[in-house]
Amino acid sequence: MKRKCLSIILVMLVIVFTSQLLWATGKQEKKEVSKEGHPSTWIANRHIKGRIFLENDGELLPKDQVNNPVAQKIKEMTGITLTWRSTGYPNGLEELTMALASGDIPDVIVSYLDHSGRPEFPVLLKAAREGMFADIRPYLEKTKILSKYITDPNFASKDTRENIMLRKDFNGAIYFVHMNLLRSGIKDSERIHWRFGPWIREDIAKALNIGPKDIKTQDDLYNVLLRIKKGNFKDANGKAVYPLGPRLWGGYWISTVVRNYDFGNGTRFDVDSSGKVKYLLETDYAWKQVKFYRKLLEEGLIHPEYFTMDEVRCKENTLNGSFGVIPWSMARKLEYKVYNYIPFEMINYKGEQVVYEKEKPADKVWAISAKAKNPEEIVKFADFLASKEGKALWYYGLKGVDYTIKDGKYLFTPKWLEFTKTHPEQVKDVIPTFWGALLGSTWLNHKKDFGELWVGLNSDKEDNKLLLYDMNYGNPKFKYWKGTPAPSYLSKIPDVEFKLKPVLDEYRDIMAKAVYAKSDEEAKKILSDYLENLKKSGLDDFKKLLQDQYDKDPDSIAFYIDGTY
Amino acid sequence: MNRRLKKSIRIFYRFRILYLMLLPCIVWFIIFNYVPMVGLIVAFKEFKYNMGILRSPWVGLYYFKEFFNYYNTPHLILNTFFVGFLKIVLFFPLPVIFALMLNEVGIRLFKKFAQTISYLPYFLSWVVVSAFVFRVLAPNDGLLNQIIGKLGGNSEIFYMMEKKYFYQIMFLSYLWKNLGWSSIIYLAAISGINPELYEAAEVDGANNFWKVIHVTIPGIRSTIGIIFILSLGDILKTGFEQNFLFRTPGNMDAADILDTYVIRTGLMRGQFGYATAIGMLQGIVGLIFIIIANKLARMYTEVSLW
Repeated sequence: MKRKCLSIILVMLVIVFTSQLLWATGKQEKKEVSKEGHPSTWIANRHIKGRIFLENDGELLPKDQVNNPVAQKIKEMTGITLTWRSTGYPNGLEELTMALASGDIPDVIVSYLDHSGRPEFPVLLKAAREGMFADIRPYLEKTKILSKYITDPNFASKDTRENIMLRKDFNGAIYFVHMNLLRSGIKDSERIHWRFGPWIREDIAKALNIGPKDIKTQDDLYNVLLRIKKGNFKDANGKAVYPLGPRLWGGYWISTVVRNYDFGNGTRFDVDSSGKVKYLLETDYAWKQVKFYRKLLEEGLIHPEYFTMDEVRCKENTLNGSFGVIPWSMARKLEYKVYNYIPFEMINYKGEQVVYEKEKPADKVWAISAKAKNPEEIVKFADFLASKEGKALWYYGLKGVDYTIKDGKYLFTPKWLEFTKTHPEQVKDVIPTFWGALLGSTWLNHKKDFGELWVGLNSDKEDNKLLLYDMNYGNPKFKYWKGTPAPSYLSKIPDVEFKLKPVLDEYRDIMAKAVYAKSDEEAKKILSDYLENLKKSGLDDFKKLLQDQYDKDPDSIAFYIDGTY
Repeated sequence: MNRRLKKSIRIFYRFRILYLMLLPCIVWFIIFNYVPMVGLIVAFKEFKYNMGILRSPWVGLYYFKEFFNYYNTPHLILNTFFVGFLKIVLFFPLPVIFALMLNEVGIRLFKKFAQTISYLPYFLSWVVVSAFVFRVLAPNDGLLNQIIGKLGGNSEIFYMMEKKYFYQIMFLSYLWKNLGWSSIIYLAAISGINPELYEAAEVDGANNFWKVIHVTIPGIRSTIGIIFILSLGDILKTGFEQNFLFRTPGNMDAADILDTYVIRTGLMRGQFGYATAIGMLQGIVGLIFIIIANKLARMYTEVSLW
């Protein structure tokens, strides 16, 4: 009897305990769900279709954009399924132009756009003016993060505000969201300073006893290249290295190794000592650049295919350590499995030995098709992806599974770190960073949000060591540039732009052509003929516009920017 | 209904199956060749994305004027004519000669083998061919330079960077890619020649060479004539891919032609009206060439298109 009573009491206790537990759980869930039974982050049950015009970057999308764990979690939280279409077309601008002409634009598109001087912008601007994109201003205003573009004057750069998003000729409408902007008030210690080069093979620098500040002048560089040649250094295949090789992503004309002569770096326009706007070819710096390269070519110090080598071969050769010095790359640890390259800065034509950086960097842009249904939902979804909660998902995956948080620092789990080492090619399929970043990567302050400068720095210091090493190598000075890059003003005079832009775009080919000319006279003639063609196409009209703008407000134009353009 | 119409309907009904077989071809031409002609009006309009072709505003001859005012236009036209000359006039007899040679090959297995090998390059894209050409002709470590180096010559020549080698490289790679495929139509025409003509020539004492001269060539003369006249229509439209991909800063003066210019301005900068205007000029020049060639052919031979 006693045993029976005890059993009844136990059963009763279990029932009471379970019912309390269920009630409590229900109460907690009630806090997070709306009246319709959706979580508070819910937007709509919908499929957003996007298209990216980003060339081979489409390879960074996950194989399954719908059923990966992060996309599933986001679907659960917002109701949104997001899929991006990427054709892998080798020229993003060409693809964008064709897609706009044929009207093949899904709900949302993404294009490259660092600043309004990029060649994509005239095409995007024309499309916006002609009603291809939806005015998203009313929706942006209601968002938590993206509304900062409108309300926070310190957030976006002047170029982003006045030329891209809040243009006067848009009459209050907003058609684009400029991406990858740093949060306003971000401290210097909270941002990554990318190094673009030139780079020298670390073991060669050590063997030749070259310090990070030793290569200052063109003569210094020439002597280093000469020593590399004489040093009989070998690559991974036992072949002699070329002292100077092309940039990592395929050879073309780049000014990083002719730094002493880089008048108007990145724009080719600058003001001379008397305050007069000039084009690079109107100064003797253009010839000096060409002459330096010609000397290297004559003496076998430069790879003969420096200006033309395709990307595949450039990467293969760089990985094999076939070049002593390369002019431009980004510090990416995976790129340098065989040989490490270390950065150095030469003195620029102004006499500074600094790394130029955009004060408010930006990269990529998205726009919503005018035909997209309920654009507000897309804006809300982008805002969710740009929130800390959204960013955590596409940067770090699922909490407890892929990462944990300790003292405000996000740490990947050992299981995930192991997975990244054993299945590096599948990382994007589980944590689709690129997929989420396309709409969500803005208002960035990684250090503040996640307790580290870059994803994974706290979790795997060894693996990320090179990034910090590159960033700080030689204790470089960073100098910010601001204002609108000079070429952006060309769109203000469309008739001149029509004629002048194609000729300005020939610059890199013309300079390379002059390098390969049979004689100095022929090379000089190539440059002078080019200048004449520029003048015939309206160079002076454009210079006048720049001069007027500069005289009115010198800070509104950026002539000297980083040389990656 | 008059008698003539009745007769036409009767003939049409009698050959109805043949007409039915022709139908897909006619539909194809209408869809892909005639309907797009409407798009030519873009050459006179400022194309706007939201208005499409028909509703965009007219700009008259603006794009044509701009094209003729462009400093590089004469150079582009001359280059295009020269490339057209190489690809059409100079290339033209070679597939005919190749087909005649193949026809004379007695060993059936070798003939099939040679045909297959010669057709294959046609199926490679110009992207692949250009990568191959760049590798073979690379300075120092390219195959050609290595051979020259082994033979004691200068192995440092960067062929793709020198204007003087561009046309040779362009023509030879074009020949390698298209020779076999272009010869098919002549082989088909040769197979249609009545064998009795060869027997008659043999009875008259003709050897293989004279049979080719007096039987084969006259037998395919009309095919040769018509293909030549038609190909002249493309004298200013030689295709952009090869020149676009082979272009380097060193050879750009030779490589830039109207087709590459159209791609660079039209597609890469969104100047559709401008690109269409140039394309239209190319088409008009091609049409003029066809008309002149046809007239000359009709005056001096019995071969002509109409």
